[in-house]
Amino acid sequence: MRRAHNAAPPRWLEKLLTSALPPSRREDIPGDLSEEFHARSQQGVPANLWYVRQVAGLVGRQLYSGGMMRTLLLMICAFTLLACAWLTAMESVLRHPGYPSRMILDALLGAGSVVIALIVLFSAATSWRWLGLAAAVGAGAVGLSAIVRNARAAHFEGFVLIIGTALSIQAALSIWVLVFRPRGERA
Amino acid sequence: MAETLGTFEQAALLATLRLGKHAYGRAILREMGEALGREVAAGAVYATLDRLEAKSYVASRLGDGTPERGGRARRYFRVTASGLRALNEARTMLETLWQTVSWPVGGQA
Repeated sequence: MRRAHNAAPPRWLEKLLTSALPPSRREDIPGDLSEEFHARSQQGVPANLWYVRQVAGLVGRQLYSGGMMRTLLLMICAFTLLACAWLTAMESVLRHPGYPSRMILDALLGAGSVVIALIVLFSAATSWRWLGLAAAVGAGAVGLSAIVRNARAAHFEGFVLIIGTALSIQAALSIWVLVFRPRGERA
Repeated sequence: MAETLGTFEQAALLATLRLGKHAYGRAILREMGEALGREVAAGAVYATLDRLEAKSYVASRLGDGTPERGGRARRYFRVTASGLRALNEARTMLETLWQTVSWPVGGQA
């Protein structure tokens, strides 16, 4: 009796799978897996573990193929943009020595995040991609340098570590998405 | 001459061919598992079918859903003329290669 009740796969796993797939495959692939799950349940073959493995494989492939990487990159760009806006505002309020140059750097980093996000969103021409790549590499260098200097400093600042890490991840993801992005990503 | 097909691609094309008008994702998954004698990952099968479709070796269309699928549509695949040509070439190439040695190999090692 219990098998009949469990003839559908776990909802949260189905939702995870659907959200990871490109829109064109959100009908047939979850449908196929659901049908197989149903058949296995009817035959008394363990279906839950099989389903988890298939979903993990499919989600993993989507992550690797670049679709999810793009989403992650856009989220990190949004975060670094907000972080740079916050840093610029704080510099202008606190006015520690040397603040104008730091404000300019923060503004440039924020602008870089906007450029990368726009290039990723609108699939810009190659010349713009190189600009985005340059912005990403520059931001990554600033991020890594901030992490190293923060680790060596007398007073450790948590926010520097977080923003530095975000900038470094943004650089790595940008290189992946803008340079190594597979052709079929936009399906 | 068509691009050389990998073993998994050949298995996917042959499964699609064997299933005929009943070739949709889950059926191909099962057919390939039986033909290869092992459980195949759904992700690998869909990635292969996507690649074959990008090469125009298969074409697909959406069909109807069933209650077991939660009403979701099935995607039916069919092997195109280019796919048939690629399969024939793959077979011919293998046969030509194997003609140069006697089976089973290993006698001269």
